[in-house]
Amino acid sequence: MMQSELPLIDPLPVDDRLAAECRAKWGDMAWRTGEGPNNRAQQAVFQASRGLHHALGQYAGPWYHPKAIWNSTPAFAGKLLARFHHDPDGWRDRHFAISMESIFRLRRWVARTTGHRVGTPPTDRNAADLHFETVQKLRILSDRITCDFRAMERSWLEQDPEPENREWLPEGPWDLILTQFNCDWLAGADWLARIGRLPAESGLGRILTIMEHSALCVPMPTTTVVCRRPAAIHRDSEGQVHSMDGPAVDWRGLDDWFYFRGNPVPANTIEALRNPPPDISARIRTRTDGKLRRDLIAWRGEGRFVTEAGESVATDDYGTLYRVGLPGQREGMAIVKVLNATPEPDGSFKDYCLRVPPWVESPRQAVAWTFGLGQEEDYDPVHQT
Amino acid sequence: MPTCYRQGDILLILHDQPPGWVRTVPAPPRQTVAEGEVTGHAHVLEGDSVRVDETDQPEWIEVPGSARLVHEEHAPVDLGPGTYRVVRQREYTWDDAERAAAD
Repeated sequence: MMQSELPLIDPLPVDDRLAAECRAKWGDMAWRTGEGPNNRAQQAVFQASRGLHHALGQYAGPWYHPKAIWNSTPAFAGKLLARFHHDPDGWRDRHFAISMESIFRLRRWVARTTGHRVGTPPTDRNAADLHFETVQKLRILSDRITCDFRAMERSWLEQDPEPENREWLPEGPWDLILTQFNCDWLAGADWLARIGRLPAESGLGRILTIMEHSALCVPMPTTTVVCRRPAAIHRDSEGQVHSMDGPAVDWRGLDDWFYFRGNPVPANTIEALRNPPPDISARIRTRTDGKLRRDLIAWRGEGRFVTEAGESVATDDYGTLYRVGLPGQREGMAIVKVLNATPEPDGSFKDYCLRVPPWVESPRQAVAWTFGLGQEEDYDPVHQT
Repeated sequence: MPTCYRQGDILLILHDQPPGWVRTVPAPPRQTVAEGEVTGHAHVLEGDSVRVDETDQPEWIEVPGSARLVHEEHAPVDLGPGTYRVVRQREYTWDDAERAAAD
């Protein structure tokens, strides 16, 4: 049985080279796109799915016809699960928590024995840090699927006339939906498989095979729900999920996920950023999501944002000081706008903005601070260009 | 009030002498004081017998006679004899840390 696959053991020594291979494989796999139910993938998933159900075992019988059902998007997979839930003959498939429990055990086991060290081996710190960053960037995608499933679950329960059905699945297991974006523990599980701690013919070994071809895997007693990988995943130069030209994660037009520098946003936000309205800075200021607001301010430019959304509070011979308050943030932002001392070729003087601490009270004090001078009187250059 | 000279994002503050722990060495005729991070334009010190501390972008400069600080986008700054500390302009950041202001 599944539980016997996961004996409680002491932490295992980690082979750095092997761990690095596993990280690289599942890190790449997380961004893989386009693969669908072609013959090769279909065969592999079908075989693995059949093996998975035999490994689960206790539901085998004359009526037993294990199958893998491909979906085009995670949302479709969720709707399929809802159909299983409402199908009076599909009661067995409601209770996929048994395999979920095994997955949960695997994840805990991987974390306890090797997971954190597969992620951060002592002699390969750079690679481990890179892998950790990748995991962080991917978490927003796996969390999205979890949240979508949880929202769907709530809507099913609201529609369900039978109160007892509302207890059929606690919220927790949704965190255990397996997606291609869970490269952290998938790498750890693969490492266990490679050192012979997770037999390929075991249920969880089969799941690893399925995850090589699928974006998502929900193993149920008689059915494995799988999903095609997205058609495209766009990222910015820092590797965050991001696209200004359309959906950052494209599920072939059947579902569109829009992201701005790793932040999930609605489609109209991307449209507003492509054609900014005059009050774009004021609209950015009212955002309550701190990380998204910070990224939007960086996109607009801190100086431009504060001068557009804030107000000037002081002017002297050294420049103009601007301030803007931010909802939910005590300090707000301050900018000093100064003129370049050297004229441009056309005789004009270019201005530029510098962000300064919010406690400064005058442009001179602000400029003195930018040069590390404690007193504003200390800043009085005898010559500047 | 210290005497200081400014060229773009560089401030040179005149001191009597460098701190005791600073060891200066002869600088080449064209010594880069600060690289431009964005434009690639550098602040370069031109002068004879100038001494600087032993770092890629020196913080301490000793000028025995005269020297000139030049930059592609700024007018030159003439320096008289003395010891100068080089300060790069910084900005306030979200993490309340300080980062060098991009030139």
